[in-house]
Amino acid sequence: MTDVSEPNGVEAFAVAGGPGRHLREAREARHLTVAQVAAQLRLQSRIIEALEHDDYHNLPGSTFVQGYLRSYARLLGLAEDHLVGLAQLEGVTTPSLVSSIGAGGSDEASSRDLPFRIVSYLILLVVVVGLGWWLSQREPQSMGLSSPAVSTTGGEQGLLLPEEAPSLPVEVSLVAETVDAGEVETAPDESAPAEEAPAAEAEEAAVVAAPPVAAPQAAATVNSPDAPPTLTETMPQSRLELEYREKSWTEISDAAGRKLAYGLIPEGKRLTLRGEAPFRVFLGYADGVRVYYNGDLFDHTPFQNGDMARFRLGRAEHNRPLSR
Amino acid sequence: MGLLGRFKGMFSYDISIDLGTANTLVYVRGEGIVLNEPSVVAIRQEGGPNSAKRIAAVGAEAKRMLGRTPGNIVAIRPMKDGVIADFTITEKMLQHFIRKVHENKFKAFKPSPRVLICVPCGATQVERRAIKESAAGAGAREVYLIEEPMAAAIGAGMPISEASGSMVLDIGGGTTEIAVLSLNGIVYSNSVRIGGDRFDEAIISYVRRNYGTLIGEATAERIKEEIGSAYPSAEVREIEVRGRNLAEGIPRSFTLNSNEILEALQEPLSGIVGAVKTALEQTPPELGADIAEHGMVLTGGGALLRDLDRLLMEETGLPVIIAEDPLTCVARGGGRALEMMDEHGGDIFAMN
Repeated sequence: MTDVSEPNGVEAFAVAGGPGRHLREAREARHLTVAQVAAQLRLQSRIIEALEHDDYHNLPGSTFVQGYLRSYARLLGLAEDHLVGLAQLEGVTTPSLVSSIGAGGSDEASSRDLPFRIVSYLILLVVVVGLGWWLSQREPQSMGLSSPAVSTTGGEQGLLLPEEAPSLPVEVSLVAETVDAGEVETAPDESAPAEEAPAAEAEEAAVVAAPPVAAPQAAATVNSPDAPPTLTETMPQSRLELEYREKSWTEISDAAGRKLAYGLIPEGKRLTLRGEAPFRVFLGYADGVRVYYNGDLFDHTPFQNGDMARFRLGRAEHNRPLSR
Repeated sequence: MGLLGRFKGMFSYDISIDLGTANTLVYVRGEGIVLNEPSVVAIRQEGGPNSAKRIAAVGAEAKRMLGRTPGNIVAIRPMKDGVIADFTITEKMLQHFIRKVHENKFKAFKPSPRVLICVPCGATQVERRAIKESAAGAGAREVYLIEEPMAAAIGAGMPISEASGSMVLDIGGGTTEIAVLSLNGIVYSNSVRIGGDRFDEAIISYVRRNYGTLIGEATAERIKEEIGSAYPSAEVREIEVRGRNLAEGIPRSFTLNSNEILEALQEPLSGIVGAVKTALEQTPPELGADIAEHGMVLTGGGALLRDLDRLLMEETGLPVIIAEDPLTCVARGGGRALEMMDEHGGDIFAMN
């Protein structure tokens, strides 16, 4: 086998000028066979032959080729570095560190892949820009909406009127009753001493004069002239109505500091409160609440800060936002 | 890593450190090995009762002081058996080396490189963490650890990514790492605490036993480098050394030959051979067949011991080859691993 390959090999050496020729000459000078060398170096004979023919393509890699050349040169007592320097290892494959399996892994979509990164950065950009746009649009939008809101609510009010129309006379007739109900419900025990007497009186009057409708009216009329001396201008108590389309946290106190409402009011509920005119109102979710002041829809959107609204409500000049 | 870290990274660089017991090598990505110094730190105790200690010298300069220091200077090797023996000093040493590398590059900025450090595969979690924190304390922005045989195999240019077994034997100063690798992972690894230092100790105790003379570590190392061998050869080399005669208490000069050193090294060498044989025993047969065909590769300073490949060849019956430039294989491999991590993501090599 060696005899067959040698003639070709000799021609190859002349062209290549690699270390193979030196190795073979040195081996022959020492009367060693390829098999003997292979046994000493613990290598297969074909590797020794490949080294002597400067044919590194079937060998494991440059590291191993250099190592084999060194071992072989040492065995023959040749200069290792010189021989390794002669070897032309350019053609020899250096092992790549990415295995076929690793490459297969990289074929799979990875979050590190450039397209995915670009796409995710784009999405992020869009989200950020959109968020910025939304935030910038939000303020003007709510402002813009406020005027239509007024008009629509005006329309609604028109629609509501038939509903309220019957209630209005009733309310007028039952002023005392509603006052009582409001007072008893919202502030049963903290009512000012000045008001206590008329309230009790009114209650008595209402109880006593329950059957005849005229009596409460009389009581009311008796009441109203009674109160003004004590409460002067605020006596014509203001009426605050809150219509809950969404549930909202509500804190309302009147000018005297009485808490008229405090708590989470569920949606669908309608709250009617009476008290001294400038009310301090805090609505946790202002969008879901409509405020009527003395029967007129009050637009609280200018006082709105996010979902919340905090404002003072009374006569027009009193209306102003409240700080904490 | 955060935007700031990324920004700082623009003015920094990636380095791979072979934090060895004997030598520390620093490989800067794109530049190659820029630092190769002994892992020795000399500390000077300032005058006064409770005064501060100061670093007197690090690296080659400190190594020259080993065993030759006056009372107020101690030369310490902060690494022992491949792991940190003195945490603070190691941190100082790393700091010094990183700064030294940095000085030649960007002077205006504080160094904060990404650092990859090679750890022995036998290192415990505690030891790994110590190394990691030491590097972080020395100013590294990010610290990666890679197992030493993996780095050595990459540095030696072994085809570790192929579905074919590669065996690497990395004989360092403190430990010898044996690993069988395939498909970018470690199939078997073992670390024995035998290395260049044990060779030196063996020579010291041999000389003490047979000559009644005490020699220093530096001398023992010189003996090993000049006439040490692992396998008997026809050529006998000699060296003249000086040591303190224990009986007379006077420094004496005497001559050692390579056969004596061979005898002295028998014990640590048999430890390494035994570990290799165990590794081959534990290797799955298919990978064992690949190793038998291609041979195992020696790296690390221990590979420079004369005829060590011959010894292993005779003992195991497998081809054994010595890697090109075995001293720097681990550092180069670490640098290559850093590059691979950037190109293909950090999950290429099993790192922690």
